[in-house]
Order: sequence, then structure tokens, then C-alpha cells
Amino acid sequence: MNWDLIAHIWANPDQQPKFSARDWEVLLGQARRGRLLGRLASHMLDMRWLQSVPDGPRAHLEGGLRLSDRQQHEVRWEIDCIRRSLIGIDVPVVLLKGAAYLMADLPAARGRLFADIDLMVPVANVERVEGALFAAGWICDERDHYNQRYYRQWMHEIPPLRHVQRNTYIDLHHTITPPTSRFAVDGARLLRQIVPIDGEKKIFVLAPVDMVLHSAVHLFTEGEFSAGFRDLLDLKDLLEHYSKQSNFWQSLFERSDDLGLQIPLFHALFHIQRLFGYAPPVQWSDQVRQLAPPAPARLMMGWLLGLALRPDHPSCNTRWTALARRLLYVRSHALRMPLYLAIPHLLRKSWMRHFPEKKNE
Amino acid sequence: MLTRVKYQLRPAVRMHWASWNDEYVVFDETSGQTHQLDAVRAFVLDFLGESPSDLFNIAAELTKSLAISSSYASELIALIIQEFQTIGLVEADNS
Amino acid sequence: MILGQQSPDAVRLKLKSNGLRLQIGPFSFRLISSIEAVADGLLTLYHDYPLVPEEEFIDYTVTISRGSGLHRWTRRQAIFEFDGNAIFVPLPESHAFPLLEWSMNWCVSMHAHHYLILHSAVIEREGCAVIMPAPPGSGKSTLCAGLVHRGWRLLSDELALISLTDSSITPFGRPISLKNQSIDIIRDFVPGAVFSRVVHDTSKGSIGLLKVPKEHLGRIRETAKPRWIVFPKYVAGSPPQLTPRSKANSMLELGRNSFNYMVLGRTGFEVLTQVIDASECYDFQYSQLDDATAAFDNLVLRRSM
Repeated sequence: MNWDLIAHIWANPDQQPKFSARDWEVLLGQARRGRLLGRLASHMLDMRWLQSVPDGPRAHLEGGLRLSDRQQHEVRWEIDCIRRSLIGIDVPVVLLKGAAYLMADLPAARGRLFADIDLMVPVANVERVEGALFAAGWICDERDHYNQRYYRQWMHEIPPLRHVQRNTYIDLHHTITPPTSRFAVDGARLLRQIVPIDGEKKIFVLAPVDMVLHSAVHLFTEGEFSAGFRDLLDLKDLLEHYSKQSNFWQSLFERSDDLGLQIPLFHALFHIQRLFGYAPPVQWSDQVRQLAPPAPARLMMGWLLGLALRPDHPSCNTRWTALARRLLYVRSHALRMPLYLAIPHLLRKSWMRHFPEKKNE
Repeated sequence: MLTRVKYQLRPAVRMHWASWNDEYVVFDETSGQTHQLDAVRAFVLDFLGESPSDLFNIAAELTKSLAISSSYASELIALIIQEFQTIGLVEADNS
Repeated sequence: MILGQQSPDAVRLKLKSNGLRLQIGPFSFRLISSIEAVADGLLTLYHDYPLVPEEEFIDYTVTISRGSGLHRWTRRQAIFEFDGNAIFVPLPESHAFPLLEWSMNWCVSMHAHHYLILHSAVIEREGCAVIMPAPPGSGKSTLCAGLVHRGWRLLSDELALISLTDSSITPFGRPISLKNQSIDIIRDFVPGAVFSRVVHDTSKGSIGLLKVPKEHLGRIRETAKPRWIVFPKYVAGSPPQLTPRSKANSMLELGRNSFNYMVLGRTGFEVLTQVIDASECYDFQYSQLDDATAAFDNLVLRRSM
């Protein structure tokens, strides 16, 4: 069976689902795999449909809500701990992705499941910030020198930092894409437009258009697609929310030109329209067309992404899905670093999987 | 010597209590931490929950309410506040 | 209809095709496996469990497969798959039935957040429950298996399911997992005890699963109120010693021994507080099951006074 039940929910958000028991089982499995269980439950709750879901599936939805509700508390606590650890350091700290959606009270935070907290600071301050976080208990677990160098030299982030007591993770970035990437963006340009979310002007989020563009470029250059559908939903949320601001679309297209992110934006808008029927107001159609890459690349990417951006659940996978995901993984590495760097890196990564390092006795 | 620095609960903290026979359990809803506290520690945390206070003041209250000597109270208070700071429930009021 | 009313061939066929649908306590499972040991274990131990009708919702689909690729034929493995994902590392095929049991525990403990789930045994008499939390090696399962054949009803040997609305305990009623010497001890203590085929060389030693008395399954919907919390500790040669224990400390231990206390946040705290409010807390050291039986009988007697 190849039912994209989860896509159906958000393609028709005003339609109350009338599912058989078996449909509910499949939908819950797709939601779990796509990290969307809390979000699905929130949607049902907000539409006042949760109480009429049959007992069996409803218990699972409510369980998902409990988990995402709990995480909201814990992310707030974590951000508070981060803020406190950086009190002496006069550097703007920018929240990215989920943490930003939560602290800026955006719809994309509703029912969300969080993983690491993503932060961005000016490139010149990465070491100082890392030092302050270390003093407060976040350590770098990465022991492999090669991986350390990969991160610090080529990437836009340092290896993940783990808190020794809470086992929570911070990903510390200095920009939103790898410097070696085709879509490299200078962090300083983003920092000029950040928006404070606290009275003390210590914690910030990206400007709305930058948040949208980050989501778009992250989606299409990251190697991991398991949360791809969720990320597209987030992006749709951001667009719906911010398009209420006057001049938003104009600013978005201008900024995408400015930062060279037209192609990721194009692909994002294409798939958001295909999956959710959401499109920019019609007066911008020409602008959208102008974002597009040449036809063959566009069609290929469209097909690859269409397959890969579904929940990684047996009910959604076709014979082609695993292939599509692999191609995208190789491709995304190509986008991040030039080929002569990517191939040795990928080779080493797959080599390491077969020969895990022995622990020192 | 105790300074006049004020201490307070971290603003993010939301405490809930349970107790049996002079044993106390406190739960912070934000961080999700659960701790077992003796009567003195429970008293101090609850006291700070009412309003920020400096160590002198808390020690004086301790001496009054729990009938312990003031020198013992002072030593104890410094230790307890340090513990609460370490687990992240209490902070110095820098305003 | 119960599983025992189907022919063994019909059961095996279901397992190999679209799954055997079983109601176990408050949860429904669809079990899929073409490994013989899984079918054998189910036929031995799950005779009296109800089958779930076709149109009804299934909580958890558990697949114990042989894996794909060359390993299917060469290394003979058993793999637990959930939502299309392998959850644990592959085990030898001979461990397939214990793997099924661990997988069902995993499904519930990871997802059933409409209960506060404690890692403990729980047994009941006269509507009142004893919760027995214990780390591995404390003898909790042996104690549980023994008491369940001396007047106590089994609610669960691994997962205590505490209702979030009224802190009552819902039976799960799965076979009791016993290790190494415990298997022989219980064979002695319970004449006629039915075990699944004992599997050796698992990470926990030798494992056998003990069939649940049929009468207990007949009462699987009857909940119980928490009344005692007993932390058991097997100490060779020790006389029985039941000593009262701090409630506050017991609460923290229960929280540490819970699968989802952290997930439930304030609700978890409030429900656990109610459980502690309602219960006397003890440490219990013992070496002989007969001593334990007497000590637990005494708990019930004292309650009635």
C-alpha cells in the first residue's frame, strides 16, 4: 500500500479525517517516522476533532501531545541555561530552526519534537562562545581529529556540544550553509538583520525572510531527509505566518537574489505548492518562475525530491525511494563541498562504519 | 561573613511540592528536575520562592522558625545556597 | 475467541502472512514472524489470550524478521522491526521468542504515555497492589513468579501501568521472564509450571518465560489500587526482613525506575505523589520463597486489622 495519508492531512487541513482503523494505524506510523505525531495531535486538537477520534488511535495522539508539551518546557530551560552561560560575553546569540520557532512563538513550534539546539554567532566569536559553553558544562565529544578538522575547517558549524549532566546538545554555527557550498552565505550579512526576542537583546532570531531562506536551503542541502516532510511543513507555516506582513514577498525575492539562494527557494515553493496547495499570491508568479534552474535539472530534482520528501515509512516507500535518497545524499555533499573534497570524505565516513575505533583500555 | 547579595529562584522555575513526615520532594516543571529535600533545605527553597532574600535574612528566619543556633544557620545557609545554585534552581539577583 | 481455539497451523499461517492479532492487557498487538521459535512460544504461553477482531484498531505491530540480504541464509538472525525500522541489533535466531517479549515491552514503554509506566513487578490481592521495583539481579521476577502461585494475582512482572486519572494500576498480564537458577527454583516451587523453551547464552544468561495462570487472565480488566511498595533484595541465606522505608526516597527511586516519568512532567509528579500517598513503603530482604510468601501474607493481614 502506498498511501500518503500524512500528506493528505495537510493538503486538506480543513477536512476532518474519516479513517478506518487500519488507516489510523498507517497514519500514526507515518507520523512517528516523520516526527510529526505531536504536530498531528495538535492539529486535531486545534480543529476540535481530537475528542471524536476513536479511543484506540486517540490514546496514541494524546501520548504524542504529552511528549511534545514536555519538550517545550525543556527547550525553554535549555535556552535559559545557554543565556546564563553567555552573560559575560558581549556577543549576539541567534537561535535557528526549532528553538527559534519556539522562542518567537511561531506556529511551527506547535506540537514540535525537538532535537539539538542550533545557535549562530559571529565567526570571530566561535571560540570564545565555545569556551563559555564549556565552562557551563557543554563539552565536545568528538575525539576523531579528522572529524574535528572537517567541521572546523570546512563546515559552518563545530562538532556538537553535549551537556555533561543533561545530555542535551548544542550545534554552534557561524552561518547557515557550509563555506564550501555552492550556496555559501556570509554569516555577517544575516547578523545585520537579526531580531531580538528578549528585553536584554541577548538572544535573537533571524529576520523573517532569512528564516524562510534558511529553512529552504537547509532542506535541499542537508543529507538527511527523514524529517524532510516536517521541514516542508515548517516552511509552509513560516510563509503563511509572515506573508501577512506587508512587503514580505517582495523582500523575500529580493533577499534570495541578494544571498544567491534562488534555486533552493524555487524548489521549496514548488514542493509546498505540490503537497499543500499553498502558493505565493498570483502577482508573484513571474518572480517565482525566474528563480528556476534550467529545465532538465529542475525536472530531475523535482522527481528526486518528490520521492525523498515523504515520511520514511514502508507505506510511503517505493522501489525508487531508497535510490532517490542515496542520490540526494551524494548530491548534498557535492553541494556542501567541492567534489575533490567530498569523495575522500565520504569514503572515509563509510570506512569508519566498518571499523569503529577501539576504545583505549 | 555573609554578604548582602540577594538570592532568588531562577525566574524560569515552576515548583511543585510533596511531603511526608518532614521529608520533602520538590519538582520543577520547567527543567523536569525532582529532588528530595530535608526540612531545612525545603524551608530555604520555599522561603526564596516567596521573595528574593539575602543570606543574613534567610539565616535569621531559619534561626527563628527551626530553633537552630544563628552561627550554625549561617554556615548551613551558605552551603545550601551553593547546592541550589549548582543544580540550577537558585541564582544571585544581579539587578 | 482465544488463541487456543485456533489450530496451531492456523496460528502459524497468520504469523507468516498478515499477522496474529492478540489482545494483551489494555494493548492490541499484531505479531508478524516467519521464525518457528516465535510461533512455538506463542502457542505454549498465549493459549488464553483473546484474539482481536479484524476491523479493530491495533496499537503496535511487531515484526520479528530474519533480516534481508545474505544474512537471511548464512547467519540466521532475528531482528525486531517497528514502523519499518530495525530497533535493536540483530540477535541469533534461537533468541527470537525472548526478543518478541522484549520488543513488546519496548513498544509499550516507549509509546504508552497515557500511563505512568514503572519498571517494576506488580501483584494484587483483595483489590490492593504491591509494586516491586528492582534493578536486574534483585530477584524481583522470581519473587513475583512465586507469589503469583501463592494467592496473589499477577498484574505485570516488568511494567506497572499507572492510570493518570486515578492512579489505579492496569494489568498487563504477560508471561513472567525468569533467568538462570530462577527457572529451576520456580519449577520446584510450582509443580506443573509451564515454561517456553529455555534459551541459553542471551546477554542476560539463560531465559525461560513462565505461563500466566489462566484465572488471572480471566480478570485482566480488573484494576487495583496501589497499597504497598516493596523493594526486594535476594541475599543468599538471609532470613526475611521487612523494614519500613522513607516515602520521599521511595518516590525518587520509583521515578528513577520509571520509563516515562520524565516525559509526563507535572502529571507524572502528581500521579507518583498519589501512589506514594496511598502506599506503605518497605525494603525486603529474603532468601526463601516460603519466607516471602509468609511476609507478604502478613502485609495483607495487618491491613485488615
